[in-house]
Amino acid sequence: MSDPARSSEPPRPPATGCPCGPGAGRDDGEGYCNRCGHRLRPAPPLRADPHSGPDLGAWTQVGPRHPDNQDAVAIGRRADGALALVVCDGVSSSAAAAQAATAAATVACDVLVTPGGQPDAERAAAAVRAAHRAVVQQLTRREPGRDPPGTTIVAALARPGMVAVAWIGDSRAYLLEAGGARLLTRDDSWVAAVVDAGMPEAEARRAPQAHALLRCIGPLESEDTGEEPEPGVVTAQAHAAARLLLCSDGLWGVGEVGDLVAATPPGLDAPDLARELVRRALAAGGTDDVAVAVADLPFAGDETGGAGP
Amino acid sequence: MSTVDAFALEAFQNPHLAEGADRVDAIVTVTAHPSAAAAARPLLLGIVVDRSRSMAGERLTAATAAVEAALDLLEPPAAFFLVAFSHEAEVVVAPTPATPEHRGVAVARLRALEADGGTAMATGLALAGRLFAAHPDRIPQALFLTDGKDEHDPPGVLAAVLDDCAGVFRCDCWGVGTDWQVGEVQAIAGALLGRAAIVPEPTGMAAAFRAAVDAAAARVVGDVRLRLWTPVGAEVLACKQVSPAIADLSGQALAVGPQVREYRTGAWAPGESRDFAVAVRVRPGLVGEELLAARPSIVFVGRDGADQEVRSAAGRVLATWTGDASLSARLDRQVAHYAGQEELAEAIHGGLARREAGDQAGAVQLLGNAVRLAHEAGDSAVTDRLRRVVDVLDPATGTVRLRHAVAQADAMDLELESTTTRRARRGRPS
Repeated sequence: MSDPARSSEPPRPPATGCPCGPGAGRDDGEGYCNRCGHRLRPAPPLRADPHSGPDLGAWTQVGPRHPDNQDAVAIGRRADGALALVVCDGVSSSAAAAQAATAAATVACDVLVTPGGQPDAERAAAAVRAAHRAVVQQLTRREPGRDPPGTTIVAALARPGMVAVAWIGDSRAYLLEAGGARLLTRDDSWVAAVVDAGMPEAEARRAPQAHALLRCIGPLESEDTGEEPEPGVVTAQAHAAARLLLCSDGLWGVGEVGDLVAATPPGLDAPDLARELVRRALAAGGTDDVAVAVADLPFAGDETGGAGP
Repeated sequence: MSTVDAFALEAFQNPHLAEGADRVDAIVTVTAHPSAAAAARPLLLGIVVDRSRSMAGERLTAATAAVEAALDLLEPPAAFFLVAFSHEAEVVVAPTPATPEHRGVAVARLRALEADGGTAMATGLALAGRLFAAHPDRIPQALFLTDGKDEHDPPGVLAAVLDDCAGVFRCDCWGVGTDWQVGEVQAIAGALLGRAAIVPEPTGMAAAFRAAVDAAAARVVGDVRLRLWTPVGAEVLACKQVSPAIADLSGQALAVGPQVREYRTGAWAPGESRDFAVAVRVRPGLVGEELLAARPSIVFVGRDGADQEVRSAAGRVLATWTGDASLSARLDRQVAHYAGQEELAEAIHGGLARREAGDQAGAVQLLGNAVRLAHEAGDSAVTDRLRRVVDVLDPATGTVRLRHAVAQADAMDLELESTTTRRARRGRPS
């Protein structure tokens, strides 16, 4: 016989990772929220999920128009306490976009967490270059009528009061501080270029080329020229309580990232914030895949030695 | 202590929904375990007999013989009572153990009854309901016999009494002859989760009663309820029993909590299996999200008299949203099968109503539709019944001609049996 309905059931853990927000529902004992019915603890699509914790998390989800998720994320922890984050967005006109993004994120994260005394900015740039070479080597198949494989990448390391970011393409890094979201990267996109040249941004966004990338990694970038792309690199000082957020255009394309973050329930930990932002981007009518990685900057006491920036 | 669940639940559905879609349909098959008799409770058989003037003579004599035959099948701890109604109802025998002496007294009192007065079905059912309610520790089963129309209940009273009696007892109904209303008797059986049938000749009553008592004696697991949990903001659009017969339970939901409701299904026999069609409207989720759209479970009264709930992972009704139209467009075979069976029942019901009203063209169209649906479903039993009402020219296209000489009993039988469904073939989709 099954459990009698009258028996006092053990208290269930609070449900997390569902639209109710933390604390509203409970796990029904079978992995669903007993309030909204959403599946909790879904099968982790993320390679770096074992590294997830309250201070570090990532989420990605396929957009409604896409058959597969061409975004990828990876997160990791360095032995010296620094946190590693990577977001990639496969170029949808290219072949094997999802595989290119996944391969690039995986390889870049491996480089970010490899022990060694390199400064963070150099390591982030090295991670992007390694990802480029990996995509070129691993994805040799070409499809007629499609571009060769290509993906954007943004790779970052977070330390107490300090972040280092390298990128190619239009996936972005933001510092989330009390004052809002501070954009650290500059898109390698047609829109960014013409806005720099003086065109009003609204006009640029209406242009047919508005979605065009100027640079990416993978064969799509280097097959004609043979030249390895050089990433943009930025380091930034941050408040001790700041968060670092990496995202694909599936998030920043639906609204100002600062506004999107401000609209989330207060008190979300890093993994819940990543997941909530992805959910909200899609709920706001986003049609693209969405990937978000979030890290709380470590406190100074967390550092266990190793190289600084 | 058995480690086997008393009930098994299995949901059949296509959980893949298109972006923005909010309706989830599933067939939930519930099967009582063959050893579920562990919770067995004794039977209380209530016989409710029409004694109005039209029953005089052969009908009342045959009814008495049928009651005698039914009671002969009972022994303590089973108990019974006997109610007779005309335009008013009386207790002929109050609830009593089914000893040979009591059975003999019942038959003698029934023989002494005179058929007289009008027909007020609600009075008989309400009286039976009170007697059943006084014995909640027993499996309540009524046999209801009439031969006329419900002419002496004020309008609306029968429906109100059925509302009161729903869930209190199960009632199998028979109409004798052809002067009664199929819709009326079907409404009683439907509300009280029983079967309705025609006994064209009074001599058929004893066999019908005996079969019903045999089946009732096997239903020993009492007060079985289908419980539905749904997410906040969801709406249960429908909950129907669809096998062995169609019975819409939607209006009989008992709210157990803000997200939990129960539907009474009466008593079950060990090994018995029924199908329920559940439709839920949920808040559309995001592509890739998975939602528990409904969790059906079974609650029944255990041996110790307390409620027990059986859940099953296989019984979960899920929803997951996808951008892949080839997934979301698939129609589950079970869901489609019972949608077809409901359509068939509605075509028969509508067709016979048109025929009754003299609308030949409408009757031909709807009954032709029914012939086509039955043909497509390979439902030879329904097709045979339809052939007594229409000449089938081409079953594939549903081309039919109304028959001129139709026995009224055949038309009534067709309508009564139209809610009996065939079960879909099981197994993995090919």
